[in-house]
This record gives sequence, C-alpha cells and structure tokens, in this order.
Amino acid sequence: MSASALAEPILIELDEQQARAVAALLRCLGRYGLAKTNLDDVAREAGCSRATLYRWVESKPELLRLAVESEETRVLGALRAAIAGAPDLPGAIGAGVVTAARELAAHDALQFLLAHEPETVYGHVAFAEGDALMLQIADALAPAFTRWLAPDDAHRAADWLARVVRSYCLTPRPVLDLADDTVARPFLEQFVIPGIAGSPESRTS
Amino acid sequence: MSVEARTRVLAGAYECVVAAGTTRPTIDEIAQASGVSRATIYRWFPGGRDEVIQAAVGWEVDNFFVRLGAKLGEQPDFPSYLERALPQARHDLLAHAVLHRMLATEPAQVSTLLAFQQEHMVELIGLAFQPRLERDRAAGLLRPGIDPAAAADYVARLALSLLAEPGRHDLDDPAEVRRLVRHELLGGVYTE
Repeated sequence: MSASALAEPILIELDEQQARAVAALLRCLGRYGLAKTNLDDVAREAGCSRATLYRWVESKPELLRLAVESEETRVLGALRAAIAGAPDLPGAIGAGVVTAARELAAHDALQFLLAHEPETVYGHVAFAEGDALMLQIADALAPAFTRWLAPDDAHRAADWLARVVRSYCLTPRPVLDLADDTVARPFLEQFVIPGIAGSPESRTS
Repeated sequence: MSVEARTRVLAGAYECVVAAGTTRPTIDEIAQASGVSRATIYRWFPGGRDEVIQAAVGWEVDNFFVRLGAKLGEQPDFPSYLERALPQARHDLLAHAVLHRMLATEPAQVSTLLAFQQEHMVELIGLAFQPRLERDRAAGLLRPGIDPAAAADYVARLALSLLAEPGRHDLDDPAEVRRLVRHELLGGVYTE
C-alpha cells in the first residue's frame, strides 16, 4: 500500500483546541478516573477557563468520545507504522502485537479505568460492541499486511492480532506481558505466527 | 454451611439477578431466595453482595460449560473436537436468554462481571482441552516441544474470543470453522 494511505487518519483528526482538551481529559482520567472528573477539572488541567473549554467541546460525553476516537486513531496509526516497518510477515505480527501491548500498558487513563472503574471499559470491548471495535481495528490494520498476504488473509491476520491483544492485555489480571519482547516473541513464534503465516501458499510474494 | 447450601446461595443469587439485574438484589433478597440466613451468606462471602453476585455469575458460567461439554461427545482427535465445540458453544451462547436480556439492559455491568470470570473460564475450558492435547501428543500429532497445558491455555483464550466476538468468522460454516481450527488456533500446535 502507498505511504500516503498509511498517513491518513483512521477515525478522526482533532483541531488544536480539541487536542488540548483531550490531552487534559486523559491526564485527569489517569489520576481521578471518569466519575470524579468534570469539565472544571479538565479546564483547570488544560489551563483555560470553563467558558473557553465549552467553546471547544459541548459536553463531557462529547469530549470523552473525541478522546476515545483520537486515541484509537493514534494507536492504530502507531500499529500500522510498526507493521509497515517490519522486514517480513512474522516480524510484522510481532511488531504489531508488542506495539499494541506497550501502547495499552503505557496508557495511564485506560489503566486507571481498568483498575478502578472497569465497567467503563469492558462494556465497550466485549460482545456486540467488542465485535464492532475488533472489526474496526481489523479493517484499519489489514491494509498494512497486504505486502505479504492476499486481502482476505491480510484481514484474517489483522483480526487475529486484535484478538490476541484483546485476550491477553485487556484483562482484570495480567496474563502474559506481551509488552516485553522476551516474553512476547517466543509465545508469538510458537502459537500465533504459524497460525497466520504458516501456510506458504497463502503468501502473495 | 455445607457445599450444598453454598450452591443454594449461588442459585438464589442467580435467580435474583435474573429477576432484578446485577445491581439491585440485596443480601436480604438473596437470603430469602436461597433459604439461608444473612449471617450464613456473609460467612461464605465476606465481601457481601458484590462477591455473591460475582460468584453466582461464575456458577452459571460453570453450568454453561458443563452443559456444553455434555453435548460434545468424543471425537477422534482434539482438532475434530474443537470443530464441534465452537459452533455448539456459539449456538448455546446465542440461546442464553438471560445473558442477552442482561446485555440489553446493563451491558457494562454484565461485560465486567464476565471479564472477571475470564481466568476461571480459561481454566475450565483448558481442563477439557489439555487431556485431549496430551492424547494427540502421545499419538505423535503435535509439533515437537509443544506443552499441552500452554497450548490448552492459548486455544481456550482465543476460542473464548471467537465465542463472544466472532466478527466476520461464521461459526456456522464448517469450512470456516475448520480453517480457524487448523490454521489460526492450532497451526502452531499440530504438525501439518
């Protein structure tokens, strides 16, 4: 795929003021969680007045939606770049999983919510909503795999990558630290990569 | 309190959840539904209401997989077993009226309760998978160096993912299930 297609935003692009409000919200979430954060806190964190903040975003739910979509866009962009930069398909799967695990582990807002207000997260990553989210992720990542795989197989690879990260990283208790290369690589090489890259006839090149 | 009485509490709590959702049942209502005293419930579940409800969800998870296991029967090898288990499990999940009613009314609470059951489910499913993997290893079907326990854990996690969020994988299509089982799930575990 072309470099310009990789550079396109996936879901949303924020203007400068929205980006400032989202960054402030994420810092508040990482410290106090969702229930205890109001737009006054966000305004203080953003270093602006409440009235100014209300000119940028209309409500807390609206700001939260912008935060979720822009963070998803940012992380998916990082994953596409990591996959695109890999030398081969096994390397791409490894880079995708480890990058995703690191992004999630380093995300203070997400980690605070998972630890203290898990119901704000799990409703969006399981069953119907989880299904929709995983499809969105697979659709966004599949083009990055078409260097090595036919479109249908590229989509399957992206889907599987999303499932592995969801199953191992978005859990109440840590399962396997896929953010750690020395843990992730042997696991991926043993179980995940042969399932995706195993049959050479599925490769395009 | 006997194990039987503990089961009565879990069944009573589950009944309350079915009737009123996950957030409303009180310890008094659970005590009444299960026919034991408040004190007895607190002795078994010192965490109170939330702990009882979490345990009641775990109890129904157990029942779900026990009922599923009873339907599956024996297959010549684990891949064939898994090819039968995935569509049956998806079918049973879609037929679980209580789950779907609760997902419609309180999706965040139900998804969270079940997320906290993930390790329990992986363990339960792994217990069904591991002996079958060991048998296939003895028959020389596994790749060298594969630990059946680790393989059971991986397959259980990803099978759960497919069960709850199948995405574009049609688990009613035998060809698709066969491909998932022989490639994505077991491609690294079995020799070609």
